[in-house]
Amino acid sequence: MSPIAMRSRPRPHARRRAVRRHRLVALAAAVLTAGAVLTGTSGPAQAVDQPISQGRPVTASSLENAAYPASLAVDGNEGSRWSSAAADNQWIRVDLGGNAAIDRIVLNWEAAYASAYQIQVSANGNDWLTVRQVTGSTGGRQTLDLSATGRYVRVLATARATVWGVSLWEFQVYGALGTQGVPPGAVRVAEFLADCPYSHRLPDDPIVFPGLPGASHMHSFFGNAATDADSDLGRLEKSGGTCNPAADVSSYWVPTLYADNAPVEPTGTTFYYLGEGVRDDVIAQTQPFPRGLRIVAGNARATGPNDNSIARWSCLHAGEVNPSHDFVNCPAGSMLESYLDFPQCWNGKDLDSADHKSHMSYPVNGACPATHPIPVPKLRQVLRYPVTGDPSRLRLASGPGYTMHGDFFNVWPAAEMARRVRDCIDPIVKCGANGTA
Amino acid sequence: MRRAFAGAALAALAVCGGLAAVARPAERSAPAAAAPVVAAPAPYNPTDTAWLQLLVPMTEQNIRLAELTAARAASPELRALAAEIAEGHRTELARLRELTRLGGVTGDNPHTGHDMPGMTTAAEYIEAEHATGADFDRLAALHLREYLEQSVRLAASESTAGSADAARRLAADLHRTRSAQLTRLGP
Repeated sequence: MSPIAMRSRPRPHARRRAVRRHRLVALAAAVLTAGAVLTGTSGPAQAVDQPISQGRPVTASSLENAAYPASLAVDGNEGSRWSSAAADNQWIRVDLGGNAAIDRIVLNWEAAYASAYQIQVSANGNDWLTVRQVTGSTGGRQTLDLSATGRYVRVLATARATVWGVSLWEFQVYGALGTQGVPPGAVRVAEFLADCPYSHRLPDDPIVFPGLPGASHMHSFFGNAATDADSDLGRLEKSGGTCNPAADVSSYWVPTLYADNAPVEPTGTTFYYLGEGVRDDVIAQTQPFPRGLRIVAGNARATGPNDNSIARWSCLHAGEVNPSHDFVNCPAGSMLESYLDFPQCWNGKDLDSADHKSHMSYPVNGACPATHPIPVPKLRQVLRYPVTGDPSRLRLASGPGYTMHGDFFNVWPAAEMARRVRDCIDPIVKCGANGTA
Repeated sequence: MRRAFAGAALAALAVCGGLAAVARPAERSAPAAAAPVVAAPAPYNPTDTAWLQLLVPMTEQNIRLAELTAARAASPELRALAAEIAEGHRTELARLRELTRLGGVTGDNPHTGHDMPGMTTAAEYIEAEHATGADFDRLAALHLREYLEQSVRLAASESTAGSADAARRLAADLHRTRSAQLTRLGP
């Protein structure tokens, strides 16, 4: 999908099913909330917060003997168990019956526990993504909070704590299946979005210059209203923002655009979350962004137009003007547009890195490389500035047009992000800001 | 039932604690680097890292401007001050680089090298280079002042938001020396 095609893409189906789906979503959210509140307190939670893995089809790499089948790990009975043969790399997997937004996994290990293991998810039961690695485990009952999507969930025991195999009293997956399948009439584009108008300007950058107010060139901030040099996940999640949906309190920022040395803020500010850029089977495996993930895209240090292969400038409703890495001259009645695609492959471990880029990668040949194996949505930032005409009067706070770059600090509530990835990205369904088709 | 939930909460904490370390580059680098090296690396937080990444190129750049000023200024006072700044900065730069090395800080700051507050742009440097007499002195003092003000501001932030003792001590030193240089430079 070229940037140019994006802008004329119609959104005819955004509202049709919104009302019906909204009720279902509200109900699901209520159940989740109740479960979360009750879990920490007392027994009745069990009645409300059932694992979605219970009684589901389950298979294992091996059995110690016929008395310990895999099914006993998902039967809801803490007194019966699955036990593997005495070898490393044994696994148990459960089929949830549909693509689920997974928020928690509980493992109750018998005395024969795994000292190291991985939690893996899959859309098809063949291709596995490791969404959590645990080492130095001491067994017992373990609760893993995570944010993942998948139909199949597998525990792969990479190292045993004893000479025996590994054994689980219970293997419980918590989350929500949602409505399965592609809604009738849905547009088959993997997409949801947030519209986040301009919030404020500061010479701050909480990713590149954390704790150093005034260290940066001027930035224009969108979304979270509290973003400054001291922002971290804890502070940001306490603040509201400008986004539709309001649930998205993420921070997005770019160098400020100046026309004749006066700042100009974009009046179109859409942040698309897309599946495109990888093969369809990889899109089906796309995982939610982890909370607190920070990404910088584009090249603030570009010294020429060819240093910057990602950010592009174009003109709204003026396709005759070729897109460029540098500013373009837009005809009257048009608007200057900036397109920036963020990398969509994550290394699965780090929420940031020293250069703020190397924990993420762009895809290679339609898939995520082995170094960055987790596909996440492709964030596409589309900004429309009320500026036309001679671009020689334009500059960015970072320099010429080709220094355009964008920063993203993910503060989506985990359940809101996971639901959208489950319902919009994985099944390739075009959704609006509310995350429904 | 209550006991079971308490146990679950503890297990969750233990697991999360272990994993939290994985998500933080600063903490993660510690065990890997500690094994073969004599000195254990300082526990740098992201502010320490960003401050060092920024201060190394900023200081390098200002040494160039200070040397130019020491050679070209019409005012003997400005020449003397610029020579002192250049000399002091060379010592500070060595300390900055040593801390960068000890902390295993890799990678340039992705925002340095272009129009950053307090940094003299290439165009500004060329303009100063071509100026003479009082014009040169005015431009040189302007850029030195902008640079010193910004580095004092950053040193104050590093002193409060940084975590590595050595980096915070250096920031305190820079704050003191550069504030004094600003005073001598005048308004």
